Formats: sequence, structure tokens, C-alpha cells
Amino acid sequence: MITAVQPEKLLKELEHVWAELGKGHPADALLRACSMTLLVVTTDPKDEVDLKNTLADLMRAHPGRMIIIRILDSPAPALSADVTAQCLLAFGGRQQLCCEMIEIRATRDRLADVYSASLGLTVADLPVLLWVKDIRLLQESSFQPMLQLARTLLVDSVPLGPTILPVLNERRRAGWRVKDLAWTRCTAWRETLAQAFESTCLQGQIPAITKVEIAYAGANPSVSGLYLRAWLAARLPQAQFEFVPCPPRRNGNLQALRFHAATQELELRAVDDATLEIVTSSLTTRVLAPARAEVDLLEEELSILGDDLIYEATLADTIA
Amino acid sequence: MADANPFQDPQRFERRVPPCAVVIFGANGDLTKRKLVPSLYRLAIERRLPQGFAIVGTSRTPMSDDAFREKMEAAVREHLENSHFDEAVWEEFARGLYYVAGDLASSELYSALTARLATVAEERQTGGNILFYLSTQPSQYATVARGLAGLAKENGGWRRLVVEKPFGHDDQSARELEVALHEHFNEEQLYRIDHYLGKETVQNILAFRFGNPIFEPLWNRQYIDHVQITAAESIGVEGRGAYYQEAGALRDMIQNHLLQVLATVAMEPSAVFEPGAVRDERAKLLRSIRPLKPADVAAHAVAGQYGPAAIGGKDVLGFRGEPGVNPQAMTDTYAAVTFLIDNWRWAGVPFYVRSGKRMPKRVTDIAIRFRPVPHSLFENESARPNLLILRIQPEEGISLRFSSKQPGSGMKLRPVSMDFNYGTSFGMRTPTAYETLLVDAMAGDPTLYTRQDMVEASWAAVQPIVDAWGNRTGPDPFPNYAAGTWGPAASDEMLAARGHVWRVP
Repeated sequence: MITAVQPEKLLKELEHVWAELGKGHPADALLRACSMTLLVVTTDPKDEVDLKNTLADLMRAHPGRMIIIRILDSPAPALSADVTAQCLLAFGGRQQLCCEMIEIRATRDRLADVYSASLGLTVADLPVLLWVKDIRLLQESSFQPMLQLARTLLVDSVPLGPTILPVLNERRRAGWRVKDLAWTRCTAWRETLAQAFESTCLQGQIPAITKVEIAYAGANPSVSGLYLRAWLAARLPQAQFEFVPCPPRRNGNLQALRFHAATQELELRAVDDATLEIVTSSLTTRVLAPARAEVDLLEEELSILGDDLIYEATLADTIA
Repeated sequence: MADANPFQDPQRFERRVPPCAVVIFGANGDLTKRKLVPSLYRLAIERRLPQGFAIVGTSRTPMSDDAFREKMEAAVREHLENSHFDEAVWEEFARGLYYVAGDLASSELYSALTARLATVAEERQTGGNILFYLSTQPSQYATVARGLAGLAKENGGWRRLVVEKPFGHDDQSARELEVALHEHFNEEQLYRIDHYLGKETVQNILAFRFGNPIFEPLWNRQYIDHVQITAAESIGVEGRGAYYQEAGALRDMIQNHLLQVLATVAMEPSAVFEPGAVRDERAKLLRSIRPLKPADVAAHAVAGQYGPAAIGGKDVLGFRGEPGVNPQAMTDTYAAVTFLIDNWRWAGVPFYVRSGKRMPKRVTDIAIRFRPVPHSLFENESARPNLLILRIQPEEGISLRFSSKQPGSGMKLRPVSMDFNYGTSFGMRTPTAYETLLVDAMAGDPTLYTRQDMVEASWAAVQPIVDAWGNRTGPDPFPNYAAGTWGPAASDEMLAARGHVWRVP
């Protein structure tokens, strides 16, 4: 445990952790690779185990240094940090894949110290990403300097709903690469739809689509539903869009997309928590689309290294 | 079609596959059960198959659609690699499985197939697109290609024909096969599969070479002394003796897989990563391989055949003692060849390529040996030239050997290795070669498939060796290496003649 956050000391501790882990293992058993620094900001005091497991899982596809910044609600100013490593077996192999983690705990009034310490802890020459788990922080003035740590901002807008979208769009306009897991949750729907429209027969119907219904369960359409509407509207400018409430067939807000054209209809709908069904007048097929864990959503977002023009346009259209 | 689907998102979605039917000839065979159907099922799990998709299997064995489905389910359960079996996905997948029995030489089969494909197109909305996959004996390729005369015509949907290697057993038969295939299919419809090119590891060579400009200035005769490509197997012929004795290591491995690997290592960068451009560069490289004159074969190629030995306390048969193998077989179970490439980049740099069965271990790698320092600065120099190893299997990765100062007083150098291990750096599942190649064929991307001019150039490179070994006179040279060793002494001598030695992988 370090009571003041000194990057050199933390990095030295990290080296020590690696040396200890390597004892008793074959030389290549703990080989680490690094492709990024991921800064994770959380305010949840109870997510320690889950968060570390998520980050270790994420390491399979995106090896890197994980820096957890835990913001405390303690009345007294506080700042501390320590280092750990989380190891798991590589897919289909016997070798250990270890993820290095630095955890910094701080009260809000020490965020300036966290910022300066984090600058010394990021891996040189590699991308730095900031995952703000508690999206409310984006609206706090004390948190604003922390946003300067990275130019890629990862959030999940679901807890706050559409009210946060203008904030995200503002960041986008200011040059940040914004990634929202609420958009990532649309991928299974969008991809299945895209596959269905690979049929030349269905492609021919696209200009004839006059109405699209988006069926949702719950009180209101979710951010994912709003994103989908904006994305579809950009591709089907002639169509009218309607949100339709319906009973839930699968967890989550989105339940079905119905496309109405003069001579043909297509419905993409949830069957259960793991399956989507595509129904046309001549064929019904099912595809596996289980609900995705947070780590799967993160993995998809981190795989996009450049600008994500489709999402950026959708975000702008959603709040327009 | 690419621009007509506004819902695509290439950054996020995997390569798109249009609706289609895959027709497998030899549907009762090993390749279908072990690789093709498990790979297609795996693609279904990953949601990479189109909504309109079907598989039509054909072979001689009479079987109902349901019996075929049961057989394929058993095969998928047994051979699915690094993945779980999902009942719900199978149920959906199996609905698209159909079967037509018949003799490949009989026109009745093709009539029945035509009728069935029409029904399937209607039932499964495949859009009339058909991918034919020849998983039969190579001797039947021409028969099937001719049988498909009526079906090959692109009436409202595309037609593609996937052909498994070998593409002929020599240059003459390769050309004959080409003529037969081209009777009803044009070159753009032909997909000659070399599964080595579908391996992530081999594709990674392209990423390494053309995504990292620091190596490019060194990638030539000025800095590289020689290249060694090794594909060693620890097993013997494992029940394939009858087939293998007609093929041998030169035909089975070097003429196709390893020359493709060589081409990937040595080709020029293409202007764009597009099928025609990449394949043009591979073909150009293969055409640059210096053809051997008959008199030069002995100095540039070595054949070997393993004899019996005890490996780890266990007696192992020699090749001639394997079941199904002629006791006088002259098959090369080991082949090593020195290839020279006649172009500006590689003139004078030998590419040593070897492949063998019953070697000490299973390993495939490429070793790029750089030239030594031009002038030795340190006394008692023990540093060795830099070595860059591209490991293909079993542990995919990249190693760079360089010299470092040995700790302590004085200035002694010692070689150290810096390793990058693909598997432990990225701990996720990678698609099998067949998954990659099947998606490419369905999507119409032939980048990783072999073109006829590449086949011909490969044969031109090895044909003089095939001829020389086929016309051998004198005493029986085989067996000339013991099972469990790194091959015959003559192979070491081939390298020694140029002042080189085989590395031990």
C-alpha cells in the first residue's frame, strides 16, 4: 500500500509483482504484451472483484495496463494506491495470461493528484483510453481535468438515459473518440439485419419500405432504441418510424424491428434471451444472439482503433 | 451488391456472406466430417452465415436428408475445435442440410442435383448462388467438373468451384486438370484451396512484413544471408500410407504449402490489399524461382525416407514397414530443397526449404538469418548473426535473436532471444483455416486461394526435382534417416556446401 501516489514507486512494485509471478514458471508462461493503457474510473465500492475479472478477461484480446481509479465518498481527503496482477489461462492453452493492474483510490478533492499521477503511469507510446463507469462524473466540474488523460472516452449511457447524449456529443465535437456501450448493444440487431439484407431480393425492397416499427419493453425506449432509430432513419429516409411497446421476450429494452413495404414485410424479433428470429413471407430463420456481457461489449469497442464514423453520425442524429 | 446494402458496418461486422448453397462432393468423406461441416457450423455459431443458407451433400452412399443430418451432427460433435456444441444453433443449421446420393460419373447425379438445388433455392432463399466444393479423390475432379456443365452456368446466381490440393501430380497433369476445370468454369470461378494460406499465422506474415516498415529496408540480399523454412511432423503416415507413397514430401508439402509460404515471405508488397494485386505479387515471386537444370538437382535437393528406430523407448516402423506401403517404395518422406530467386531483392540468397515425417518434433517455422557484422569490434566475439524466426506452429509467434553484453566485467557478447507469443499475447480463439477460407469463397474473395499461374509456377520450380528423383538409377538409397531424427546427412551437406547449417527448431 502506498499512501501517496508516486508513479515510480508503483511501477517498481509492478516489476516486483511480475518477478514474483514468474517464479516457478517456465520462461514463457507469463509473457505479457501491451497494446494500450485503459484507465477505469468507478465510484462503486462493491464492484472490486467483478471489475477486476472483467479487466482480466478483456486482456485476452486487448493486452494492456489497467489503471483503476476508485473515487471514494470518504469525508476526509484520501489518496492511496497499490498494484496487483490477475492471471488466467490463454484460450485453449496452458500458459498464464496476466493482466497488470494499478488501483488508485481517491476522494474527489484529490482528483488533481490522481490526474498528475496517472500521467506518469500510462504506458509510453501506446493509446490511452478512459472508461468512465459512473457516467454522472461527466457532468461534475471536478472531474473535467481527468478527461484530458485520454482522447478516447468509453461510457455506458444506459444508467442516465438520453439526457447524457448531448454531453457525449459535445465531447465528440471537441475531438474525443466517444464509445457508448448502449450503441454496442445494437450490434447483434444491426448485424443480423445487415445479413438478411444481403439477399438481393430484400435489397430490392429497401426503397419501398414505408414504415418501421421498433418494439420495446419497459416504460420508454432505451438509448439503444433511440440509436437504432437514428441509424435506420439515415438509411431509410422515406420511412416513418414508430416506437411500439410490447411484452418482453428477452432481457433488455429492444424486442423487435418490423419493416413494412408495399409487397413484403420483414420482422427481426427476439425469441428469447439467446435467439433472434428473422421472418419474411417466405422464410423464417433463427440466429444465436445471446445477451452480451460487459466485457464482450468493451472488447468490440476496443477493436475499433480508428474513427467510428457510423456511430459518430448516429450520435449526432440521435440528439438532432 | 456491396454498395446496395446500406445496413453494413465493415468496422464492426465480420465479412459479409451472401445467401448461397454449398454443394459438397464427397460428403461422406473425412474432410467433410473433420473440417468442412464443423467449420460451417462454427460460422453459424458466430452468426456469420447468411439467412438464406444450405448445404447439399453428395456421395455414392444412399442416405436420406435426416440420416445425413444425423451423421453430420455426430461429426460436428466429435471434431468441433475449441468450441462448445449448441443444440439450438445445430437445430437451425441442420434444417439447411440436404443430401443427394449418386455416382460422380453418372449424369443422373447431376440431374438429381439440379432438381434438388432448385427446391433448396426456393425453400432456403439461397438466391441461386452455389459454391461447389470438391472433397473427392483428385482423380475425380475432372469428372465432376464436366458433370457440372449444366449447373456451372450463372443463371441468376453466381457459381464457384473450390478444389482441394493436389492440383495435379506434376506440371503436365496440372495443365490437364486446368483444361478440364476450365471447360465449364472460368478462372474467376475457381478457388484452389491451400489451407496453409488460411492459417492466421501465415496471414500474420503479411501483417508483420507490410505493417511494420522497420523491417522492410532489411528485407533483401544486402542484409539477409539466407532463409530456412521448416515443416516437420513427428508422426508417420498414420494410415495414409497408400496415398502418401504416391505423393511424398516434395509433392505433398513443398510444391504447394511451403512454396506459398516462401512466396509470402519473399513477395513484393502489393499496391493494395486486394485479391488480384496480392496474388499477382505471389505469382511473380513464384515465377522468379530459378528452375533447376537436371545436372544441378543433386546439389540442390535431397530426398529422404525414414527407417525404423526406437523413439523414447518405443519401436517405430520404417516407412516401408507401414501398413499399405510397398516394401520397395521409393517415396520421399523427407525433402529438402535449395531455392534461388532470380530478382533484384533476393539474388544470391538461398531459401532452404525442408519438410519431413517422423522428425523429432512437430514444428513449422521460417528463420531469416541476417548477415554477420561486417567488422568484429569485440575480442573473443561470441555473438552470432541476428535471427528472426516467424513461428507458424505449434506456438505461433515471432522471435528475434540479437546479441547482448554478458553481465560482468569485460565485453563478452551472448545471444539472447526476444519473443512475442501470439497465443499468450492474445488469449482469444482464432478462426481455423477452413473457417477463414470458406467465408472467403462464399464472399467471393480469392486472395488466399491459389491461382492457376501460381500452380504452374510452383510446378515449374519442383518439376526438375520430380523428374530427377523419378529417374533415379543406382543402388537403393532408402531408408537414409532414422525415425526421430532431423533427416539424412546429405541434407546437412547440401547446406554445408554454402557454409550454412540447418538450425534445430
